[in-house]
Amino acid sequence: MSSEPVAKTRVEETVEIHLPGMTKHLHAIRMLCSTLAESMGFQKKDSETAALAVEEALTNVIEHSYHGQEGQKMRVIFEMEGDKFTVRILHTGDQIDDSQYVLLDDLSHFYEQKKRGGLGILIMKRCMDEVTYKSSPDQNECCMIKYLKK
Amino acid sequence: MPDLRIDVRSLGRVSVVEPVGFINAHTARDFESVIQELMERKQHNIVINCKDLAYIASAGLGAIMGFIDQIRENDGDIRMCSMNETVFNIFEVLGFTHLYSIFDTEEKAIRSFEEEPK
Repeated sequence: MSSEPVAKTRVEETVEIHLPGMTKHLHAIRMLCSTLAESMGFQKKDSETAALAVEEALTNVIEHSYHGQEGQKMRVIFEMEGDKFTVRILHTGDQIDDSQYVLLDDLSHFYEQKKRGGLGILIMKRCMDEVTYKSSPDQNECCMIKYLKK
Repeated sequence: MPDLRIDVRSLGRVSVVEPVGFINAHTARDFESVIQELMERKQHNIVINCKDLAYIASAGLGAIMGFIDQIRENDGDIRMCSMNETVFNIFEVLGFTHLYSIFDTEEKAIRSFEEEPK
């Protein structure tokens, strides 16, 4: 019997969900996100914060990209590769412009301005390692990445 | 089980709000209505007992932020107690632990109001 070590390969796993943009589905996506993150080895605290960030991003799509018009198409793609957990949210609504929230890192400014509407974006930025937005003629995307800390 | 049920109890000068479930964009309106109603009844000393609150998202936190100034202007406050790890983490991530008083138990949260001069 061979005792040669088996080379470890990086396997990417992808889970893709299509759903109508309705706030009643937020909790289910949150649960799925948390479960997937934990399966990668994230601590409960980190998987919960990632799940919250995803819920906030979806809420923004429903409330701002689709202006509260429920039932519009959304696609959530979870990609798990090595220590990298990527969540991509694709939609055909308006692109989120988070440039107006550039001062959000300064919490005192945030509270003075009572920027209640920007709280979700603040949560996303604080809970994930990277948050980026991409636009194409067909769709818009919010991409969030969280790395597993060794 | 409903996504959110909110029980409200009056204990002397203090109203205890007990959300059971989660507060997110789907349920925040119910939570806001409860706080709004307490304010209309001039009940400005509010304890939110989080023992059965699974989690709170920005919609719920925004509701608290939206009411807190008016409540404090009326010499009241919103104080929290009995948070689970998930809820406490999000308060910590946002720096809310410096803005709101958080207690281990409901008894301590209620007592904090009773110890204040009327």
